[in-house]
Formats: sequence, structure tokens, C-alpha cells
Amino acid sequence: MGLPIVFLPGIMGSRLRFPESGLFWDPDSTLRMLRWIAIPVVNPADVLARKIHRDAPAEVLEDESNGLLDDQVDRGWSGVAKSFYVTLLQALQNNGDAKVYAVGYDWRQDLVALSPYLRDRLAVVRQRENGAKVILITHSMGGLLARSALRQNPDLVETVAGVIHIFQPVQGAVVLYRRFFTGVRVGPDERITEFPLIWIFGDNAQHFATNVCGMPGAMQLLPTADYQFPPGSRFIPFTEPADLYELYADLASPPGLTPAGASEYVRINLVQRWAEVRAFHELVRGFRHPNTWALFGTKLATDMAVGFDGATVRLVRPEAGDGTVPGPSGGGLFDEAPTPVGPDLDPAAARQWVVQKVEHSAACRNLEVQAAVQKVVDHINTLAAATV
Amino acid sequence: MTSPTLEPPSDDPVVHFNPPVGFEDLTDYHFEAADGRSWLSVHHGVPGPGETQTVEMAVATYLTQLHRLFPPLDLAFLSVGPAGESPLPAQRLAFTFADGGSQWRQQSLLGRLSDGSGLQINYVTSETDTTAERCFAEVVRSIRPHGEVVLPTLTGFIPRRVKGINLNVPVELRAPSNYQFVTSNGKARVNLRVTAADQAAHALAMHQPSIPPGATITEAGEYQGMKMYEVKRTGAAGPVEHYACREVKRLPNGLLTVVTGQSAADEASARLMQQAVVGLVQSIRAPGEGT
Repeated sequence: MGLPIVFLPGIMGSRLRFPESGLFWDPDSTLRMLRWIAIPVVNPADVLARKIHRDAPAEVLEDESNGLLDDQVDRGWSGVAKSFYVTLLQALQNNGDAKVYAVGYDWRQDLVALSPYLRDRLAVVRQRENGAKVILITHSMGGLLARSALRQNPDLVETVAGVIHIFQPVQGAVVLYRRFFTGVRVGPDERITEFPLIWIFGDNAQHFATNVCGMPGAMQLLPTADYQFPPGSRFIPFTEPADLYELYADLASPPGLTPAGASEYVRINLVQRWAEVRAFHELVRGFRHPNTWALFGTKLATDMAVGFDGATVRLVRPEAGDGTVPGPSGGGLFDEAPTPVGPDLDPAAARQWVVQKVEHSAACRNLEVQAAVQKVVDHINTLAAATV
Repeated sequence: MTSPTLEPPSDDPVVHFNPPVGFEDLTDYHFEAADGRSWLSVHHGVPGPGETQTVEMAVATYLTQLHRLFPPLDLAFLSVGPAGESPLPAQRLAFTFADGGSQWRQQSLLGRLSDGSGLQINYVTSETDTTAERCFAEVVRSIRPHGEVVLPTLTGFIPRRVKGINLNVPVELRAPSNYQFVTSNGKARVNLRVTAADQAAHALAMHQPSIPPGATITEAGEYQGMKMYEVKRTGAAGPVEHYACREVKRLPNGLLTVVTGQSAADEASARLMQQAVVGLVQSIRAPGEGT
């Protein structure tokens, strides 16, 4: 019998219900997402922002079937976006005898503060599985949440047999920094046809900052102090302030991320966010579960750095990431050179693999990624059986 | 458009109240049929500084957003143009889209009132609903700024008020049951929930403040008889908010109302929220109960 598997989705990949407004964040329903579209003839930009702010209560939409089987709903699958993740969950379920669980979470929240939530959810799974250790599989932000919870709960480490990270922004995503100056933009963001919801956050700097500033979870995806591009250099052409987080907070923009003429709402929120971003980055820096494997992407045009001609952004987008996460960030958990993913993948010989031309949000639907994850799952199960 | 009556549905959660002063009304004025197969959403407000667009520009922006959100094959535009039946300068558009194995139709009106405020109304129905076009035309025809003489209400419609707008809405579409008020800086929030009497147990469960993931809640005194709670997150920012929550009353029409408040930890925000909650609670009344 294989160990139970727990899957954690990426940002915006959990389905949420907002009971106060009656809105849903549901990537599986265009009908529901339609209600998030800004009403341009009416809205100040911050109406959407205040509805999606982390202080607006939300709950994971786990009690709705979303076309899934009862036992899948019972294991949390309906809490994650079916269109992104269910093929992976199904493949894992079909290829083994272990139960596959999914844990949706409120991705707007501070990833430090979400730690007790994940700890409690894992405890429930283990209770249902007679105390068995679990295998954690994560996508994108889910990897950051897992590392946060494991880092804050040393006793949790023992209950996890292994962790597999898929396309984790270990050192953050430059695209988030860039969008504070450009918003979501046709051209550099063309690949987000895989993930059109991102348009909701705004196609100019003011709207983007306004909508994102109330979500610490999203802000914590900013590049960390460890991220460099080109190697040895900061990813932006500013050396002062030397402290990256002071640079983010700098009211001169660029390099700071507070847009010129920002509203009181944006300024108040960003001041809170800088402390949360720094604390989270410092918390998980250099930390991983002892039994960790990782896959990350490359060969797609990805924001790796940001240049400026005055206040005008100059894009630096070589084909060196997964379209969202730069390769060096995705591969930031290990010093070892990554091995190309392929049929010879050997989890006993390597800890991380690189995948070519697979877009970030499509990673969990990719058959090559699924096959690699399955091999690591089998390996962890073999190790666990040998230990017993 | 099936019921030839002016009586709202028995579970229509209509109450009267005075919106809290100093707060913006962020309520989603979303009137929805009991089966969820049709709804009307009404958005009325004043654009922010520098946000003013002409109606034509706003329509173009909205169309762009729709194109981005939908896969090309799932979206078909039916019409875009001036709304002749509207009493204000406005544009109408209609499109169909696929979702969840069904085909839907949205009809929208975008317009601007003489005071500069904007109005957008979206009416979503099954694509096959043969009454939808006539229904929406009546909604559009009935739009009046509050204070102007309203049109007689046709059979099958009831008059509704949304912020500064009066309009007639298909009777089978129930009123919103949640009202949200937030300060412009986002530091204080007040929510009113209206629940049918037979759902009282659910409403009672909401008498405690909601707690964000990873937070703890403790009692923190009273304000004018209302229990206050302090909520602390384990995150880097430390203590963040106070919460207040209070059951209001069972109204003569059988509805139960619950008001919750939430604020940042600073004294001014907390006091603003407390006053808003108390004032809102005092103002809640059933239709016909007086002011």
C-alpha cells in the first residue's frame, strides 16, 4: 500500500467562496469569474481590490461536487481548480493504491500565517489514514506554503515521507515585480492564455498595484534577496538601497513598487506587505524537507530581469523559465545542476529535473511532468517500505 | 417572467436600513432566481479620479476584458449599440457564452448619469430564454435616478432601489442577502447579512466573527453593549484587527439580520467601525416599519 498523497495547488488554483459578497473565485466557471470583471463605467479601481482583499472572509469551496465523484469530493479535490489539477490527481490515483487528497487554501493570505491551517489539514488526513506518513506534492505557491509549514512545525517534518515540488518559485517571480509597472500586458503576458484570470487584476500599473496590494500571499511571490540575474547581479539596475525589501518599499518608483499617486488604500496596504514579504522570505530561505525532489521549467520566454529607461520598463525575457518563474528561481532549492526530465529519470540519482517548454500553469496537465512525479512517488514509497 | 404578481417571493430578503456614514457601499447588487439560472446585477457608482471614460470607451474596455476571459470559441457577440429605450445616454450589448455545458446569454447596459456617476446592468439568462430580451428592455426602460418620478411597475416586475437608482426588476429575482460597506482606506468593514427565519440556525452560526486562517480570537471588552473581539494573526504583521459581531433582531416579516464589523487595530478605525455597526443595527427595519 502506497503512502497517502496530499496535493497543494498554486496561487489562484484553489476555489473560494466569499460569503459576504456572494462572489466565487472559481477558475472552473467562467460564469462565476464573469462577476469579477471590472465595471469600467462605474468603478473606482479599488472596488475589486477591497472585495478580494485578504480581510474579506473566504472559504475553500470543498462542499460542491464540481462534477467530481463523491469520494473525490470527500478527499478535497473540489477545493482545487479541476481544469488545472484533476488530471494529475486522477493519474496519481490510477497509478497507485494510495489515497490522493487535495488541500485547497486561501491563497490571498500570508504564507506564514497559513501554516497552522496546513498543519491541521495534514493531521486530518493522517488521522483518516491511520497515522501514515504522507507524500506532499505541490504546484507553484503550494511549494512555498509547504515549506513555510514544515519550517514552522519541526514535528511535521517527521510526518511527511517526501515532498515533490512542481514549478515552485523558490526565489520568486520577476514577472510580479514587472507588472507593478506595466500591469498585465498584451505581448509579454501573451502566454497567460493558459490562465486568463490574471487579466482581472488590471492592465495598468495603478490597477494592478491596487488589486494585489491587499493579498500578502501574492506579494510574497516577489523575487527574494537570493535571486540574481544575470548571475552575480540584482535583477534590476538599482544597487541602492542595498536591502531589497527597502528597495521594494522605496517611495521613489522605480525602484519602489508604490505607484506614483497611489491612493491611501494602496499605501496603507503596501506598508503592511513589506514586513510580511521579508518575514516569509527569511523564514523559508535555504529550507527544504530532507526528502525533497523538484521539477522546474525552462525554454520559455520569461521575465528574468527588469530594465528601466527612465520610468519606462525595458523587458528582459530570455527563454530561460516556464513563462512565469525564471529557471534559476525554480531550481533554487538545490545547488546541483538539473537533469533534463525524461524516461530515464532516476530519483535515487538526482533531486531535481528541468522540463522544457511547459508553461507554468499547465505543468500539472503535462504528461512528462506527471510521469516524473509518479516515478518520485514510487521511489518515496520504496524508501518508506525499506525503512519499515 | 412567469409570475403575474407584484408580490416578491416569500423568501425575498428585503430589509430597510441606513447605510453607515463614512463607508462606501461595495454590495454586489445581484438579484438572482432561486434556481440560479438567471440573474441581474446592478452596478452604480462614481469612477475614481482619472478613471472617467466615455460610455463608448467603457464598452470597448468591457469587450476587451470579455475577449480575454473567454476562449474564442465560447463567446459570440450578438449586438452592440445605443440603447434607444434607456432614459439616459447608454449603450447596450449582448453576447452568448458557453460554461459548464450550458449556453448563456448576457445583456448589458452601460450608461452615465447627469451627475457623472456610471451605471452598468448585466442580465444573464439561459440562451434559450425567450422572454429575456423583453424583460431586459423593461428593466432598461424603468431606470430612474432616485428622486425622479418612477415608472409604473408592469406585471411580473417589482421596484428595486440600488444606491442612487430606482428600477423595475423581474419579480422572480431575489434581492441580495449581503450588504458590504468598506471605508475608502479599507481599514474598516461592516457587513449586513439578511436571512430567512427558517435559516436562523445558519445565521446564528455567523454571530461569531469569522477568523482568518492561522488567527486566534479573544474577547476584548464591550462597546455600547456589543461584545468586541480581538483577532491576532501569527503572521509577520502581528495583531491586525478587532472584530465585532452582533445579532440584531428578528424582524416582523420573519427575517433575521446579522451585522459584523471588522477594523484595523488603530483606535480611529476601531471606533469608526463600532459606531457604524451600532448605527446600522439601530436603523434596520422591515419594509413598512417606518424610518
